[in-house]
Amino acid sequence: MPVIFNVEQFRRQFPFFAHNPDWVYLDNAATSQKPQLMLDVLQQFYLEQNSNIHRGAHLLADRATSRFEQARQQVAAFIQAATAANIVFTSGTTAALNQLAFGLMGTVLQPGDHILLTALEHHANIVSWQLHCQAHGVAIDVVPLTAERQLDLAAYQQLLKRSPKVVSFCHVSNVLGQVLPVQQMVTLAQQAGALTVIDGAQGISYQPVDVQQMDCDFYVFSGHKVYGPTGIGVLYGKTTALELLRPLLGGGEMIQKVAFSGSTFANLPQRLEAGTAAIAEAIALGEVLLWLSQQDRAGMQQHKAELTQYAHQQLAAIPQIELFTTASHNAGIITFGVHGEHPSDVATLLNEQCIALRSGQHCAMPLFESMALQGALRWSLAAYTTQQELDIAIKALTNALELLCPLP
Amino acid sequence: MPFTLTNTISTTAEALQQVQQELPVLAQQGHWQERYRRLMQLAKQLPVIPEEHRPNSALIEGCESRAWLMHYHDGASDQHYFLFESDARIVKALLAVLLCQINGISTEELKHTKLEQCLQRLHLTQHLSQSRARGMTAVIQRLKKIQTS
Repeated sequence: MPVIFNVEQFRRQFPFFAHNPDWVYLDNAATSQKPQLMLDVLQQFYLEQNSNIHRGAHLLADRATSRFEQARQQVAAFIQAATAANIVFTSGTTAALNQLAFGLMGTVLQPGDHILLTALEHHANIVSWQLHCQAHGVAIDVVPLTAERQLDLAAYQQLLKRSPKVVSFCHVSNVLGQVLPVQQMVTLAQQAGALTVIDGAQGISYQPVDVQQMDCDFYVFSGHKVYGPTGIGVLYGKTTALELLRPLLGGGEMIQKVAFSGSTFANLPQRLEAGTAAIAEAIALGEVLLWLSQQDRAGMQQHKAELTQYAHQQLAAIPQIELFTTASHNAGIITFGVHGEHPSDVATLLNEQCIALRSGQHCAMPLFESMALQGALRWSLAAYTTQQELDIAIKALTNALELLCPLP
Repeated sequence: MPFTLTNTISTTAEALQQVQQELPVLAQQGHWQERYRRLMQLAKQLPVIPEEHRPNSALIEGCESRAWLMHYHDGASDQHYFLFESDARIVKALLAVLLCQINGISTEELKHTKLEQCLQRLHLTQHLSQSRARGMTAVIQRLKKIQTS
């Protein structure tokens, strides 16, 4: 029986807030705060269980290995993957995307091929491809936005006619907050014969993800944006899709037999996990995801949607503010500018009032170029964000505007 | 009035002198809002450098906002002058706080200036030192190049 969502109760599980009572934390798209449970699991592992994995030399190693593999199962359960073998641990979304771009080059992608990205992508889902595409003679097409800053789905369908071999797009835009119609986009890409990659960095905390229902070939995300530790992330792939990947990293754990005449590789998923993994972090992520799945996810989503709506309403009432996001289909990201003022000035004055937010181009320079903007301010919410915090942030913003551009 | 280099250098120098005089008072100012208000008022006294007078080579990378720093040396009097501009008002004001400490000094003085110490003057408010000063380190790097050239 799931716990009914209660924001205060949920928030109390995050010790950061008790340690930083002066701060309003609205930078959750960058990283989320951590529940006590995560700290306990990390501490317990290092205090009582620390050992390397997959080296069955002793009982401690066996125990650590079984905890690590349990974490893999917990991750698989969280995103409804068919088996734990579909879960590859990486250091994060960026590492996963780099593995994909490298791993598909030459195996799936050949000179003259196309891949398709969208104008909403984070640098990680652009540069990782660029690094290899140019050298391999693979062209990158980009789905543009409409004048209303929505993904242009008609253009998407047109660009699919170029038969891209790979289509890679975000589940949720880290700048505009909008939730993409991933299901529909995957189906269309499949009809065009493309492999599908979903960058779930922002999507994973938004709503329960079912990768089998989405039917995407790959889904990647970071632990630290979903209440988990830094340094651990997930590359989910269908078995057939993972088989296509050439390993990016070589080393320990990923091999079967090594000789100077050549080496053979281990089975999946270990083949793609060279070197010692972030063991404690993986175990902690598994436990955090299990805990999260036991919360009232629908209630959390509803709470964030209400706050997103509230923030948009409050900001829209301030004449100097220009909103770049809308509250509909928004995962909890509010991006805005101040007429005639540089976002950096506004951010400085908000920082002075202990409001943690992001200003700048949010690792999405091409998107800002397409919007003809130098940058923007971003508030990103989490399920522990309260309306009171938004009120404090609005008041702080009003103070900042009073300093920068007093109304006549 | 059309932009002339000589005029702009001298108006900048005057404005920077005023900033320098006010700095001790500013640091004593109790309320953070008042410090910023005054800082921005002071920055308003600085001439705006038109875009065509901000060469690409003067652009400082590493700032969240764009900033330009131009350096001139008057050989006759052996004095170093700076002109600067930024998209962001607070950045421009902070540049003024930094540069008022070295504007108009001689080659010998510039060579012996400890630029990191000049940054201390920016610690006007509690949070400023940690955040905005980050962009200022790029400015310091640029000044060091001027120092050694």
